Amino acid sequence: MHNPSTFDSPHAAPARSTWLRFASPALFYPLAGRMIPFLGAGAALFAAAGLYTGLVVAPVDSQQGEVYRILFIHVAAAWMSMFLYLVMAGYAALGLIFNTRLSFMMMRALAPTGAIFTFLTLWTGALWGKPTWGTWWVWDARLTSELILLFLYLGFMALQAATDDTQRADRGGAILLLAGVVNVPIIYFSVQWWSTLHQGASINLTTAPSMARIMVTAMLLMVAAFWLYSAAVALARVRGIIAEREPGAVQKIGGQIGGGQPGAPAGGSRRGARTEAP
Amino acid sequence: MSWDVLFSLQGHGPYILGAYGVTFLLMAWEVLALWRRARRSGRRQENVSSPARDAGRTR
Repeated sequence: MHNPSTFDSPHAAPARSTWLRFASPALFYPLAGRMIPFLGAGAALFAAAGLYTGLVVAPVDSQQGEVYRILFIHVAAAWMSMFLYLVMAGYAALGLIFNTRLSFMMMRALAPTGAIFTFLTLWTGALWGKPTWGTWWVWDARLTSELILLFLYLGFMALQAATDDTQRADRGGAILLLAGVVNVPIIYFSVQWWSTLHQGASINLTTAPSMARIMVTAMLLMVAAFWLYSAAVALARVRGIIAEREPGAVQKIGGQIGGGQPGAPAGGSRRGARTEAP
Repeated sequence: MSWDVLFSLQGHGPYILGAYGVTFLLMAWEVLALWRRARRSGRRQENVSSPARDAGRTR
């Protein structure tokens, strides 16, 4: 909770740790506020380029026809669902090892976005499966492990909401995340380890992609858009969590921007808080 | 690819547009929820940092 030693003197961090000082929620709060517009604009630009390339420029697939175009959001959402889980697990490990409050806050901020992308992976997969496989769903290793990932996200969020003791919720959630990491390689390699209805990977690091270059371009543009979107919304959400858990830190930054005394409830503090609103 | 083809999509329009539509609806909902939460939080901070002004307003 409130740890005065960390954010009561946000500008006193030593010069040797230029980036590490942003582990302080009080310093990270305004930095996140400045990054959100750039990340959001980047996401919109990449999404526009990806949609145009994927829906207008890319040719019709010789086997699947037009329905293959679901791929551009399905694959991007699937990659993000796994990537965000790994990032959350990384923050969970950092939080447990170094006891950094911001790590736990970031872990919590990423969860709803990860859950949304996991749901979208299953949703778009079902909409792609019906016209190509003839069914919305099969208990295939890839689909089932992705469903387990959705349950892990939902379980983590339920655990966070179950108690008002944020420290216990953070630690419990972190342990759940680290235990669930084993599911990510299972999702990724399921199509190699088992005989599945789901197709294998079209892109990997060792061989040339089995898709046309324009299709790969559209897919990577959508991946970049989803990545930037995730970063923007996670930063917006973590600002809310900082303001909720450590309101003193936010008011202090507002007071310093407004030219008032640190922590003083003056008009300068009010002006600063308004400046930081995204 | 023409706009007519884009929306008919060889009869697969409902699947493709359902996938894209729900994706962008969910993303828009998430952004809107965060924006509303940030506004509420900003208003709360204003109230905390200027209690005298707000007290005057309620009278």
